[in-house]
Amino acid sequence: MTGGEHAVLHLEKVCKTYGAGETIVRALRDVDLEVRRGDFVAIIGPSGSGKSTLMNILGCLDIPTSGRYLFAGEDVMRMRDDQLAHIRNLRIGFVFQQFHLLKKLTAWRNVELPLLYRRASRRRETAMRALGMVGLDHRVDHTPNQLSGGQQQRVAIARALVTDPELILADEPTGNLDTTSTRDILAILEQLHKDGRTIVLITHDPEIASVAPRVVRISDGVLTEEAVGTAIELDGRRARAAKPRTARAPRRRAASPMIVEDAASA
Amino acid sequence: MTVLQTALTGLRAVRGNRLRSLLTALGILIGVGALIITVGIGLGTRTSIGSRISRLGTNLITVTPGSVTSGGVRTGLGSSTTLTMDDAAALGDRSVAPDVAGVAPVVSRNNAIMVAGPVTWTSSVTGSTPDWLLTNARYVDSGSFITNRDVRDHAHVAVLGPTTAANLFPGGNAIGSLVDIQHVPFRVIGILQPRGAQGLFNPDDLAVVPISTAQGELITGGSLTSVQRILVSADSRDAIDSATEEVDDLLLQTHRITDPAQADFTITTQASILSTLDATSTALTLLLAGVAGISLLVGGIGVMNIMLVSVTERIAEIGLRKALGARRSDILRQFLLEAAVISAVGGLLGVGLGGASTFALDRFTSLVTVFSPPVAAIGLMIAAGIGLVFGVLPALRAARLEPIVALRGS
Ligand SMILES: Nc1ncnc2c1ncn2[C@@H]1O[C@H](COP(=O)(O)OP(=O)(O)OP(=O)(O)O)[C@@H](O)[C@H]1O
Ligand SMILES: [Mg+2]
Repeated sequence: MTGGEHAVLHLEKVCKTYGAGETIVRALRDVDLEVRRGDFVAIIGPSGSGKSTLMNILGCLDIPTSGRYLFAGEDVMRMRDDQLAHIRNLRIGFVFQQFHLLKKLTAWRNVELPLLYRRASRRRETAMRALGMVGLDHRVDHTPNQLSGGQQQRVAIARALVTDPELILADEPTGNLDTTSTRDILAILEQLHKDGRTIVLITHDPEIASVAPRVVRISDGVLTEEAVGTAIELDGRRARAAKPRTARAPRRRAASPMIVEDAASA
Repeated sequence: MTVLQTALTGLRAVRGNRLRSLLTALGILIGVGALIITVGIGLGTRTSIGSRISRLGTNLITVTPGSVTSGGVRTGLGSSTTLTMDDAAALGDRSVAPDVAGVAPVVSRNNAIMVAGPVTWTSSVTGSTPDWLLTNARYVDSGSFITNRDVRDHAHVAVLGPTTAANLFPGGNAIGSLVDIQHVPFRVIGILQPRGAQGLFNPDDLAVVPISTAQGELITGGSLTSVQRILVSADSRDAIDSATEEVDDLLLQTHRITDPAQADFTITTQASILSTLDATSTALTLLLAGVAGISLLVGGIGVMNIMLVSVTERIAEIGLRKALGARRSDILRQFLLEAAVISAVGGLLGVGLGGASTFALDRFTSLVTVFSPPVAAIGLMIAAGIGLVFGVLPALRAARLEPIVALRGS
């Protein structure tokens, strides 16, 4: 397979167009991208450049118009609706700019949601553990409107983590947050990365993108690789990220906490 | 998601939107309530008819003039004068009709004015023979009943129902007193035992006089020989069929009719009345149930309407659930069950409303109503079923939403 064993995401000449004829919008043009296990990639670009379009495709929420997209070696474009739902449930954790929490459910009920669709048992326990990882053990029974924006986004991250997915996709996760909360969220993402998670972070803010060892720029639907920091630093980070990769399988099964208790206050 | 989890999600959605859910369920509530009330009335009517008829005595065979045959309805059913005193006399012959225990020819008129001293009372007056007691399964409470001799002599004697007696003679001194019926003076010789009111018709409010006297002086336009109906009492319950046959044969013979389809009289037994009333009340029940069905239908459309609004409102939720891994079938089930839960809650309230109304009607009105638990259960199931059926369209719409479109919906 072209993607190689370790590629979680593999895109080849992926195009996405909206509409047709006069009003056609080419949101993605011949995008090639490979994300490996343990990578932390920031995708940066101005408004309207195609970031969300790319994120939807990476997250199996939408299908490319043309090209080739393999998720963990499997061809997404050949999948039926239910298979896509299955991948989203099992292997991807989403973090959205608008949090997308259900207003009427408490924090732990929100975190529980993905587990409901995979018929998991001991859901409360698992949800509690995920909330613990983002430092929200003391807010589990609060509804979203009883939580600050930063806390809400942490609940959303817990929800993304609860299924222990292979990929965490965050689309402008700090777009609606103040600087303190932004720092909290980024710290959590960095910690997840250190724990060996694969993370794709979408943002328009270069400063935020700088937390990621690897930055990819998108403009007008065209993707270009861009290095941040020195090559040595980058390699150093990669090496660090690569370590847990080998020890990954047994750890995942054990589902032990990945973040120190006070990650949120870091 | 398991069905239970989905149902719980549905319940939570219903609880979270209490007022709207209640308003949505209102149609279902009214429909199920109406169903239970109407079926309750239908069943009640049927049981009260049943008990009324068994009280009347099931051995009664009634012969009326005219007939309803395949040839169509003859005009003036019951008012033509094809039955005579001779017919009654012939039926009383034990050698010809061995299964007949008693025969009572009857003439009667409603709205007869009765005056006793200062009191005026309007009631019905019946002219008959001593067998009237036997055929109607009635008894004399005090005094005596009219005799064959009274009939022969055109005696001016009357037996009053207890209601009539109490109204005409509030002092209780009825027996031996005079009462003017349609300006003809009669002496009261007896008072009947009460039987109890039965709906609109009160069998305790009447006066019974010798048939000869009634024919001659009370029934205007009648003749001295024709009668309005003949009451025949069979020997026993088992003898009803053979007695009916004997009556039929004898009357066909005396009326010189060879084709039974051309008979100028109609024989009705209690059993046939029962089955007719039964059929009528069944038809009534079905009609009322149909009305309830229409309100359920309207309620279902209401549920569909609100569910469509709900789907539109919750597009973001649907998108999120899909992004988190809900399949189409999960979303479909969620909204179907939600509609079913709303409807079932409406149905439950409807059962409460219907049950309470049924008891209230039974208690505070003259209607007899019966609360039937199986009907309540069926009503509940219908309600939930309506939710499912009318939830299909909104649920399909929700299930078909594309996750990205839905997520952007917020
Ligand atoms: N459903 C759609 N139909 C038509 N055009 C669309 C649709 N979705 C996105 N586009 C267009 O595709 C291009 C890329 O949009 P996209 O939402 O991916 O941008 P973005 O980089 O996420 O921008 P922002 O930073 O503002 O969120 C834009 O020109 C947008 O107008
Ligand atoms: Mg965007």
